[in-house]
This record gives sequence, C-alpha cells and structure tokens, in this order.
Amino acid sequence: MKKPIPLHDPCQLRSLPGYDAPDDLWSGIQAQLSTTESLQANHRPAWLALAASVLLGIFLVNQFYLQNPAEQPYQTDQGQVADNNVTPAKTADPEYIPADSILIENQTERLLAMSQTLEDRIENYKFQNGPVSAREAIVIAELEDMIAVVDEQLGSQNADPELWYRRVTLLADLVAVYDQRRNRDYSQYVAL
Amino acid sequence: MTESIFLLKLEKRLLRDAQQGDQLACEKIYRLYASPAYSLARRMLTCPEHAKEATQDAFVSAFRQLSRFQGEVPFWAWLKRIVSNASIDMIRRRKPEVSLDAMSGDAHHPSEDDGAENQLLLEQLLLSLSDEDRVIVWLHDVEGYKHREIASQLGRSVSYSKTRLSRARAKLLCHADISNKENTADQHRLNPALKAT
Repeated sequence: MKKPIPLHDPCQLRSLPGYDAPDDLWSGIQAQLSTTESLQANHRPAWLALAASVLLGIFLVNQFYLQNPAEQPYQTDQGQVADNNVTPAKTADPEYIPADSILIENQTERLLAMSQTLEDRIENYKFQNGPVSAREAIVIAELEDMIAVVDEQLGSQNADPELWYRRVTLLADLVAVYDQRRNRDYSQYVAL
Repeated sequence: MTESIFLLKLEKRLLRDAQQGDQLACEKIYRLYASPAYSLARRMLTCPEHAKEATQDAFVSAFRQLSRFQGEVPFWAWLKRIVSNASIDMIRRRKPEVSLDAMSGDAHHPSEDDGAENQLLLEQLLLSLSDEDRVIVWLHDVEGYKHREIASQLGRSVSYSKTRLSRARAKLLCHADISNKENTADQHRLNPALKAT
C-alpha cells in the first residue's frame, strides 16, 4: 500500500537525511569568539592611552611656555600686548626687528629641540623589540601617518611654529603609546 | 508529521550558564545544535564550505547575542532563525555561480535501503533549483516557516514567496515523475515479463 503524500511537504524533503557538522567547526567558532573578546579587552586601554597621550602632549607644550614666560606669543619685552598692525614709524627704522618675529624664531627653535628629543626617545623604543598588539600597531601607524603629513607641510613652510607645535604633540602621543607597551611588557615580565 | 531536527530541548540551567559567559556551557549548546544547524545551512547553500562558514558565523553571532536572549521564542527557533539568516547572507555574498562539482563533491550518500534511490534523486533535484527557490522550498516545507517569515528574511513580498514555492515544488515533482517513469521504462525494457503484469 502506498504511503499518503503529506500536504505540507509534497516533495517529501523531510525524508532527506541530515548532515554531521564538520569536526573543526567548534575550534573555528571558539577562535572567532576569543578574538572578539580580546579585541574588546584591548579596546579600552588603547583609547585610554590615546587620551592620556593627548593630555601629555598638552602638558609638555604648556610646560614649555611656563618655563619661558618672556616668550609668551602675545607679550613684548616691555610686557605690553603686541600690536599685530605694526606702525609705519617702527617699520621706517632700518634696524628695527619686530618683537613677534623674534618670539616666533625662539619658539620654533625650542619646538625643534623638543621634537628632536622626542624623536630620539621613539628611536630608542623601536630598538626594544617587544610584541605590539593589533590596536597599538593601528594607533602607531595612524600617528606616524599624521606626522608624515605635518612633515610634508613643514617642507613647504619651514618655520611655522603651529606646525612644529602639532608635530611635537603627535610625537608625544607616539611616545605615550610606546610607554604603554613598555609598561605592559614589564608587568608581564614581573608576572613570570 | 516529522518535526524539524532543530526541535531539541535545552536545559534552562545550561542556557543560563552560557548567558553568563560559561565557555563549557556554550560548547555543550554547540554540540547539541551543531548538526541541525549545519544541515540547515548545507541544505540552503549546498556547498559544504559555504555551509560551514555560515554555521560558524551563526554560532558566533548567537553566542554574542546570547545575554540578550529573553526566551520569547524557544531557543531552537531563535537559533534556527540565526542560521537561516546567516545562510541567506552567504547566498547574497557569494558569487552567483557555484560549480555543481563543488557542491556535489562532498554530497551526502544515503545508505543502501529502499528509499536510497529516491533520496539521491531528490538531492540532485534540489541542487538543480536556484538558490532562492531551494531556500524557500526548504524553509517552508521542512522548517515550517510561513510565507510572511520567508518573505521578510529574503526581503521579498509574500506573493513572491508563494509563487516561487509553487514553481519549485512543481519542478521537483515534475522531474521526480519523469525520472520515475524513465526508471519504470528501463525496468520494463530489461525485464519484458514485467509488461505482462
């Protein structure tokens, strides 16, 4: 006697057998889950490091101005507020050098020196071959790209203190990332 | 009526442990549902590699969202939906043409019993359907989804789902009839005594 054909499954697809899941499927799922967890775990420290590095950059530049009060950008030697519109009487004097141009020159020199110091520090860090996490590598690459952009701009307008200020801030950020890596490596070493 | 192979009972305690991030509980849940999930993906996608990838994506997504699972629907239905969605996503992502050799290379060979030939034929007929037709016919006839649900998963209208189902069924049944007739004719040719009966 023929079996009746079910209305809900006229092609009798339910008679087809199931498949066994591949043996290595769980390991793949586990790996993917652990990658996500570790990325999430790394997420917060990386952003904290970035925020800390920005603060450090601001702090360094502020220190630079605090240690040299005479070189405040808007103050002349006499303590008066500098006038951006230089008077014709002053420009008529052949030996007259505008106070703000001296200040700019001094600032740039100091920023250049800071830039050099930070760069030396980064070079030293690079020789310490510790493992770099994926997130750190991304932050480092981004900062280096931004520094490269500033360098390119500096090539065209050499003595712009704003650009040098930006370069110093970015280098300070980079130093902070390397600092974080060094501290982490040290903690792992101590834990051993 | 045969129920979906997904219809498995999950202990509440196991689910709660998994929701709290217990890896062992997650693995137990995986072991329980791995084969039904893979089977569904395999039936929808046909390609073993794609099915494996879709199943993996589905479980990863399910475990990530597990803490938000409130139990409004049974766990198996929730997971089945995630697997079918992952398989539909895979169909959208993959290249339109997947070689039939790749699909059938790892084809399931049923055991030698009375229904083996029919099953093999049905497997081949399923492979001959388009991705959408196969998904619709499988989700409706085997997994028991309503047209409204299938339409929403595929981003199509209900009438589209109904039309495709009817066409897919017709194709499967028509091919099955032709093949059965050919088989009968072959048998008659080989054994003329059958004609007399």
